[in-house]
Amino acid sequence: MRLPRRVPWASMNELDQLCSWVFMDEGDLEAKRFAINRLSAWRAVTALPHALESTLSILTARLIDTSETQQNSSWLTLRQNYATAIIRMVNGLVDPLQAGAYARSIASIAAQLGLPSWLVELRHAATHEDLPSLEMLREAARESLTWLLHNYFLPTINPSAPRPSTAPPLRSVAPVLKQYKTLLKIVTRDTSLRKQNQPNIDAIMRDIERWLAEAKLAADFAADAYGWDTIDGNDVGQEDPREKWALERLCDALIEKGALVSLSQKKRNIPSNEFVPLHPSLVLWTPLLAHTHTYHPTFPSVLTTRIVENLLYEQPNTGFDMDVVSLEADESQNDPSFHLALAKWAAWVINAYDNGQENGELSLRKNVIILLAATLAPGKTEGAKKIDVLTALLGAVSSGFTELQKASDMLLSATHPLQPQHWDPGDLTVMNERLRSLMSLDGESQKYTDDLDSAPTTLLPTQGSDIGGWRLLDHHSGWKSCPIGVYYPNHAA
Amino acid sequence: MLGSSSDSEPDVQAKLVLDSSDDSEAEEPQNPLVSVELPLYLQPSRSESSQLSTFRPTRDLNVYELSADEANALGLQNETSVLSIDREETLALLGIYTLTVLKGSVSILGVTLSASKIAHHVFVPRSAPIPILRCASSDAHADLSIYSLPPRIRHNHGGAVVAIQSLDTGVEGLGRVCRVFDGVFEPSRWQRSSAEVIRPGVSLVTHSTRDVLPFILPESWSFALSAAETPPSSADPIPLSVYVVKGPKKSGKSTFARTLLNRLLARFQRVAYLECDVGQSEFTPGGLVALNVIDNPVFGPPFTHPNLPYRAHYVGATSPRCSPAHYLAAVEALLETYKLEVQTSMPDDESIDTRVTDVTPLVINTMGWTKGLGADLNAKIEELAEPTHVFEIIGPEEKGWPTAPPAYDTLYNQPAPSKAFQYTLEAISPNLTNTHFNAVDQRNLNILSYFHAIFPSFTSAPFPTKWETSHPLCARYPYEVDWSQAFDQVILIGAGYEDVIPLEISNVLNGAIVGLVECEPGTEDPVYLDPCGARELPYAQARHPLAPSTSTCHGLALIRAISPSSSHMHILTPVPPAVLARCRVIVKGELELPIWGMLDFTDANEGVAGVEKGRVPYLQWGKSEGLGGERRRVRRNLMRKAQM
Repeated sequence: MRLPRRVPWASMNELDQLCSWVFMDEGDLEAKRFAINRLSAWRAVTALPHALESTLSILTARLIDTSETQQNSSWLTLRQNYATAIIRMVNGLVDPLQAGAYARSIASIAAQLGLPSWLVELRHAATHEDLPSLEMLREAARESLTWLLHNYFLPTINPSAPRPSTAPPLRSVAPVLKQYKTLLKIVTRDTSLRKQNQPNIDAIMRDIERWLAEAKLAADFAADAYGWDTIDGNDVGQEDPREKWALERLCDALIEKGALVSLSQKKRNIPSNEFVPLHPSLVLWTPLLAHTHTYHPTFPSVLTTRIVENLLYEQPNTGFDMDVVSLEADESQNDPSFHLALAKWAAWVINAYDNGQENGELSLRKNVIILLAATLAPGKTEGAKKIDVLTALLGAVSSGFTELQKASDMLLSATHPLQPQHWDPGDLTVMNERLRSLMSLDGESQKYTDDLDSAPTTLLPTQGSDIGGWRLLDHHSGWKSCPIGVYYPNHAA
Repeated sequence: MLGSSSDSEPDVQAKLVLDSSDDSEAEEPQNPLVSVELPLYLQPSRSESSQLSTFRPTRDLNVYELSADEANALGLQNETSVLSIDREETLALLGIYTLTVLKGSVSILGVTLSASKIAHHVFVPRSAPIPILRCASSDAHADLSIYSLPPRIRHNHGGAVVAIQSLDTGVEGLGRVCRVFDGVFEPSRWQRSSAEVIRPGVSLVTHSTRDVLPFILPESWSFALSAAETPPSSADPIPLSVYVVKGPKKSGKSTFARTLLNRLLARFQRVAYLECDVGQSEFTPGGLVALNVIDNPVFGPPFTHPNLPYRAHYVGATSPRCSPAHYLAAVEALLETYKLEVQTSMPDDESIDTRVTDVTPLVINTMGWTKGLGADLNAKIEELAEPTHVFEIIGPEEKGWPTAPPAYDTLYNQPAPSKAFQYTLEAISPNLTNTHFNAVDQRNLNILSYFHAIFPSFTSAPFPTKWETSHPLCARYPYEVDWSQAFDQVILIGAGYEDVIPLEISNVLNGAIVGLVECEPGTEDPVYLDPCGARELPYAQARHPLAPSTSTCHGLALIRAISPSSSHMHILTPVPPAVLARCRVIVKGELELPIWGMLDFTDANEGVAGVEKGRVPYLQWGKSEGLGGERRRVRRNLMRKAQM
């Protein structure tokens, strides 16, 4: 269940009105004062979205600057007001996007946000160097408000309107993976070179982490990534959809030919009895997989799901994926040895990372079996391709687990049509039993969806009608249940 | 969190904690040791599941269903299961039940209960460590039987016999209100097959799993508890004891304080509990510094025993960082109240209770903010409390902060060296902390439990016997309050709240949680000279909070709506009606109603009270479209170049 977020406005109209107070007429100081008062009140209701918090502090600084009654004798106060507002705005926009384990430069995040880079410079100067000039600060305040209008207010008020896409496309991770592969090949062929190359390997690992952080940010702009909530304090434990999106992009790059699965068909076709990837591939890629798993616990699950989906469905590349330049874009997808090698990787990841714990969600292993079952189920197998590969994967994944093995055997067994059953007098009892249990379920739910007229009167003795201005309403008062914050007038009074 | 922490061990995985509010909850990440020589099969070590119950229930061998007559003969109402527990046997029950010890004695949650007429209320959700019932070594008086058991109930010498009854409180309905806790009083999906139902709503759990963990009393705790409760050997009058419990977050501080409270209740008829942790309070929702006087041991997590405080002060936030001086004044005022009104009383010779009646010891639970200003505040509280015993839980090393004592002599006077007994305790093992329910969830549940609770009007039994959870808050009949008659003053406390102008005050109060405060007449200047019939809410900007020495907070209220046209508002509060009229000041702090409390679990379309999803005021479903649409959040575990 996705929780809504608490917002200080009762409806979007209130935000719209605030927006017009702020932006309609720059000279209308009265409107600016309204906006400041409203935002100050909203701040006391619930924590404000950062964009509104910034709007409030910038507006306050400007109002003092533009007031005709120039009370403050010191221009320094004014510069400090402006500077604080701008420092806090840039920090607040950038900080939540430090999504990776390692710090990224503020400038690179700002570029992805479409925030003018000179604002970032100004933030740096105002924090660590001389306080910038009043002229610069005024300009920065104006530019910041404009940015907030286009990037926060307008998209929030008109969610359907397209947002100006200022973000540069996500760079491809493929070159990094290629670099990694080259380096690891050197190291695995000649272990004496390891020490010398270790810093480079570490650097690549960091680069991949950084790329994931960038991808998470880019997820905001990706067309197919919509439909999630912003992560609120209330659902901290929930899986971050941005993280999932970013990991999926990484996995897609890993699945491309030339990454996890070697390009050379000859290499792939080395016969092997075991259902595991070839040893050289394993040695090459496990450090990367392990490192990614350290920081992204959901990585194994994303990777296996992605591989299985790749096997199950033909891959229409989504528009966004085009940005992620694939290593071997045009190779035909119909390549049995490629698919077999991928399936082996999926099986390996499951065996390596599935610890059997379920924790309320399905284990890696079960998840994959369920994905496969949908395609391998009796009656559905006709026409589906890659059946051999899928069957082999299913066997490898369920082997050693009696329960799962039974289930998969059932799936794989020939699709016998169901024998028409003979009517048995006992069947009627069974059916009645089922009906009863269904009915009792209904009664259960009835209990919770009771008629609201029976809302309790707190079970307390009615304390006369009125004590010091307090009067407990009851079913005689005509009060009806309504959302918190809505006043239902009491007509019977 | 950046990833679901589901299937890797905490020490393998560097936790990336996105921390929105509190400055001390961020966890230090482990530096990744990127090794190229990795074993091909990483098998994360699985925490071994341990056996919780060695007791194997067998009907008419060690479990007996009492007939109505048999139960009545024992003085027990309702249907009863009697369990005969052998020495060394353990028993873990999940659910809500009453426990009456009929013969021998059992230990539960670090407390030993001997045969008595008292039916203890035990609340065991999966969200907290599961208490293990164990037959305690029976003392010399074990033969003294209070109950004459039906002859068919067999019990071995040295064993114990207990009666288990279902307890219907409605508290499990909170799981419908706050879905995170849905079904916590029932075995989890993974245990349903092995759990055995003892009584309706009470089941026996055989093994621990990742989401069902046992309560284990660390050795150093057990030692300190014994030392603290040993009465002085001489015939001196009973000493006046004040116990301070301190330590960092997640170290088991409040669990220890609760265990200490329960242990003391074996000797004293009443024990006072001063809550200084305004984020995770034991007996009240957050935001209150409260003094509670408890006379029965509490078995269950905080949300199962909300309690009307003896005296309390509202600080309005889950941390004192915005108003440390007000917080300290509140603690000081409560310590004063304790010394003047609670600590000693006339001995009650009439009572059949064999416990001490004329002295009430005090347990003080401090907050887990133990760095920076938090350390200074805790030190000051310790100084004010003049404790006789100090229990310090040593948590995992806090990085980046000096361990040297805080230099608060510039702020306050140099403290006198403490004469208290000092005990150093180990922190609770992180393997035994349930990671499925985080601090925010627990805090939300405490608030919701409070607003759904029905406190009996009689002050003698301050525990709620019931929770009204068949309806969401939005469907409950509210009080209609005429603020022009009921309130003299509205106060806002919180950083930046002084900027709220009087014209906007009703926007701020609509849907807000407020403290209901009574103050001594004449101690506050009225906002209006003639408040009766005022046209506007009695609010003035930048007022200071009421002095705790002359005021008291009777509880919290939810202003569910304010009339746009008249001087009326609708208020929900569990505070007994008798004191409502005395609360003439309302104080709004940073504490908010959890979003769960604004939803309607009875609305089939996931709307609220018949209003469809997108039209519910003050709530927004779906993703925020704009940039900067999120609240500011802070990362404190980012790795810099030096750490790479």
